[in-house]
Amino acid sequence: MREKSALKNIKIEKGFEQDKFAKKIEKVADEVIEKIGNPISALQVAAVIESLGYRHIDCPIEFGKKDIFELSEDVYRICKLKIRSSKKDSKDGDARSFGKKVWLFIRHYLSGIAFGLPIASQIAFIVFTGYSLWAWINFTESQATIVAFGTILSFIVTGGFTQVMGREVTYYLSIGNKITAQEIALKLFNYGVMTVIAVAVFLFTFNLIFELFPRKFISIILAYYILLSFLWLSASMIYSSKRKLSVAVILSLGTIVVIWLNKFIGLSIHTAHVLGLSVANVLMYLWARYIFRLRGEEKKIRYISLKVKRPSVLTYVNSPFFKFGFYYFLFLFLDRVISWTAYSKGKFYFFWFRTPYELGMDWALLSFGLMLAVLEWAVNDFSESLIQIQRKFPAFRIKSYNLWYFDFYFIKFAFLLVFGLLSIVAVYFIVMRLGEIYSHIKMVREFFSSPVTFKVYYFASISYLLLAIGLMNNLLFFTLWKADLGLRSIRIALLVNLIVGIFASRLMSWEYGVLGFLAGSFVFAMLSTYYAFKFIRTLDYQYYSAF
Amino acid sequence: MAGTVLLETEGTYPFVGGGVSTWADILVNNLSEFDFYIYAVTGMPYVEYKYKLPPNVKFVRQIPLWGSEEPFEDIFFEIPFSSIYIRKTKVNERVVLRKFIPIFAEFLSSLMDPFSDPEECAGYIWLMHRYFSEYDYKQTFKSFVVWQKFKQFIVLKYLEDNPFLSEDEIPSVYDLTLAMRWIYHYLMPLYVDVPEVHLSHATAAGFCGLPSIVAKMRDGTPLVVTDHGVFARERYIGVGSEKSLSFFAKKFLINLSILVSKMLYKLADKVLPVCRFNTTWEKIFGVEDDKIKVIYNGIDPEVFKPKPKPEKTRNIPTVVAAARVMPLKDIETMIKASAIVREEIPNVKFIVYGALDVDPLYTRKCQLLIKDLKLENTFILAGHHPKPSEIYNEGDISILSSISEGFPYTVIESMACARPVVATDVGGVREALEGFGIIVKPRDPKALAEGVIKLLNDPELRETLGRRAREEVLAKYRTDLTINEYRNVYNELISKNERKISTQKYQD
Repeated sequence: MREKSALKNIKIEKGFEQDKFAKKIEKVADEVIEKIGNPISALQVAAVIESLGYRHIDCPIEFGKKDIFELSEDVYRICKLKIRSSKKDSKDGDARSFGKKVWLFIRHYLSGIAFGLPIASQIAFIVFTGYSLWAWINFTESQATIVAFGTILSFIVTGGFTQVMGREVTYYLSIGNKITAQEIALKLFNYGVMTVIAVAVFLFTFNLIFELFPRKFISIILAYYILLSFLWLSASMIYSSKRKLSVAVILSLGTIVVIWLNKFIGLSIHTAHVLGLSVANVLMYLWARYIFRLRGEEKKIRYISLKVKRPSVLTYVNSPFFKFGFYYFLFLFLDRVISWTAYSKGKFYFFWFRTPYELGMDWALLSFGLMLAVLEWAVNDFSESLIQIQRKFPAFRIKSYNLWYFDFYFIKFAFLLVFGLLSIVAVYFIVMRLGEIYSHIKMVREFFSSPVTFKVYYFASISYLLLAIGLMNNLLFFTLWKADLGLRSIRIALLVNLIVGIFASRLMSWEYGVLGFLAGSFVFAMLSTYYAFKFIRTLDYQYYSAF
Repeated sequence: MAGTVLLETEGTYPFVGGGVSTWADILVNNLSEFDFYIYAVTGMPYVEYKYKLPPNVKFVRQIPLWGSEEPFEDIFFEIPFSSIYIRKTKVNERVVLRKFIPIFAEFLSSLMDPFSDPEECAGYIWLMHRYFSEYDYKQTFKSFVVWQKFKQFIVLKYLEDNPFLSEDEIPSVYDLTLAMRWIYHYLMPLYVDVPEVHLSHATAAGFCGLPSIVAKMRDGTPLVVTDHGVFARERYIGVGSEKSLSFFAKKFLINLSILVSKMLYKLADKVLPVCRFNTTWEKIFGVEDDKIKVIYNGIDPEVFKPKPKPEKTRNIPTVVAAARVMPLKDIETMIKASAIVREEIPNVKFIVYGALDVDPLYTRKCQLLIKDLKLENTFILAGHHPKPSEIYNEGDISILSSISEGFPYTVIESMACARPVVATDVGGVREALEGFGIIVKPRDPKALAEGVIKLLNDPELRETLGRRAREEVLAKYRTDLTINEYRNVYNELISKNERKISTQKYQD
């Protein structure tokens, strides 16, 4: 009897001990889960238990196990059971609420609007004061020709550099390497400056031989061209570091200088522009240097490469982006070049500025500005969703993942289309209404006097909408570093723009150069949408290979 | 006997400081009869050496795994771009499909099969290296067919082989991307040229050892692996603790690391852990007993030698520690222990020398704990010390509260300075300290405090343990002893290999 009770006591004690061990083992399992989550093997659990400070020699007394390896078998099983009982949200697709989506749209749209702020500020200046940093409401057509030529050339020559600057600087800043970001920004600025000067020298020499413009004209053209080019290069340094507002402020300061010099000091408009542009240039460059200055801690970075790529490598990796930047600005101004070089009444030089045409283009540009802000939202939404959505889809549903992005794309596409059309209509009516309100002003009456302005506006506003679609596609490609897809579409679009523009302007009337823009934009939108489909169909690959 | 050695480092010498780098620096400086080619795998591209390289370091090739838009730019900076460009232009879908995919598919199969033969896989590694010596690395990995093959492999084979996966264990599309990009990044050492040398020495059984595998498979070059910590075990813990990674991602990365470790262990002629503690894990990952030879780290006893305490701590019972402030060092337990010690010895001071910026959140946590326990005048986080050899002489004893270690230098350095150590029983600490200090259970502030109180209250014991500790260091943990052991291993393997080569020649 006594033996039986002793045995029972031992059993109870053993039971207590087992229970005590079980509780302790469960506690270890909790610690393991806390540290690594769902373990992949018992061996991993053993390593983690060791790292938690448990010792092999304590295992027999504390857990009733020979060592950590034996303990880990039990812990592993408990971990698996615990993990399986906790559930996970597996809903496909975008889980963000509608409210959040609306807020994101507003945030990105405003940021996109801020992107166009410098141009908007210049438009505001010209409307309210008659001056901008490089334009004047009282320009004669020959003066406007000079400025337009310089301006267009500056955009085309620097387009590639600003594109590459944005890409390279943003990349280095995103990995926290301000030293290299600064170096590469300055290097690209210098390359840009050298190219701008080389083109200027070439143009000057060419003009010396073929006399396209009188010598005095070419000097003024080159002054505008050089100063504007430098301005774009410095501004793109600032843009790539996401300081959009300061560019608008500096341009405004430069414009104030122009107004002061011309209106109050009495200098000629070209001199005032040259001086105003110089001031803006100096401020822009100094501000860019200030932004890229290295503060105490930033100088100490030693864990990342401080090397700027070799010129050959820099060229190799950036050439598609450079080409795109160049082609894009060429595309943007090609119709003007075609129209203004076609035969027309009153044309004096081979290239002759046409006010009604430019007014039509600028009018259409207003709606383009509103559309571009939508792109900022579309592309940010795309890049922010990428990882999140990839996480939602299991690997065996990879096709559904790509299909999900077709829906995403169609929504963005449709939104842009509707928004673009509404913008065109709204801009048309607002400008017309303003025209009515201010019809007592001669200049306003002149604005609406030419049918060419209206004709150009109609075609150009549709062209800009198509261009925005193409740009949206390209921004998607660029997000995953697939500039080649964009290049393929813009190259053909450029060719179409050129051919249609030349034929239309020469066979119909000079202002039909705008048809080239329309046809080119159409081709650009269509082709890039075609590539966008291909891109989305293989989005899993496109994302993977974006390194 | 002398020769050329390919020394492979991972995240350490000569670009980053720390224990392993110090070890490597001592090695190359003292084995001056050997010429070293250093292949340094790094996280990001570095620009500055942390160490002055001796003349027998003939070449340093850096292999950054991340942060290079075009890997050749940071690896082959001396090669003209035109030759790289030719390699790039040679890559097309057809070439990748015919020449790369067959090897890559076999490699993937080995990777996902826990019972795969490491030697066979080493063969694929060598074949991939041969392919990359002709065709561009990045261009190949970016090709559509590589991605297709990988996708197909995971979706079909992995899911078929593991039919009972729970929901969170099924890989997502993002996991696929991550995994394939890891392969691209971690196999980067296969892109480099592998020199013909007399011996290759991987300082970790990790990705840095890939060129060693190539050298072994191609030329039969003798291969030595040193384990400071066991790479695969560390990956279990390190990768496992990554909260942002999914189950599949962790499993994939750990499997990849273990496969590389297993290949190196299989092909190694000698595996040289720095403490016996590592051998248990090495055997688990397939190292045969007869390959293992423990070579303990050594220090210079003329640099680390006993000196009287400086003025500032002369009359204060002082406990010093050389430890970076991070969770693995469990500074929190040390802080709690100091509170217990203060109750017994009110004027005690704990001074911790070591970087505070490794884990700023943890540092903050420690600072708050010090404040909560009102230990501002007792426990000092002193930051980096410019002269490590002076640290131990500032105290009466030193302390180590880590929850995980290999064979910590701080223990033998303190022993050399005749300052007895109170340390937690982790890694190889017991091997060095048993009989010469106090070893306590990890994560136990009370035990740690008792050890400290015992030593601080007993000057005689302190003096005896300190003296014996220095004698132990002089007898077992001197740099020259360590170096001689490496020298012997190098010479033995090189002459053995040369004998093998001459026999082969004779037979041919």
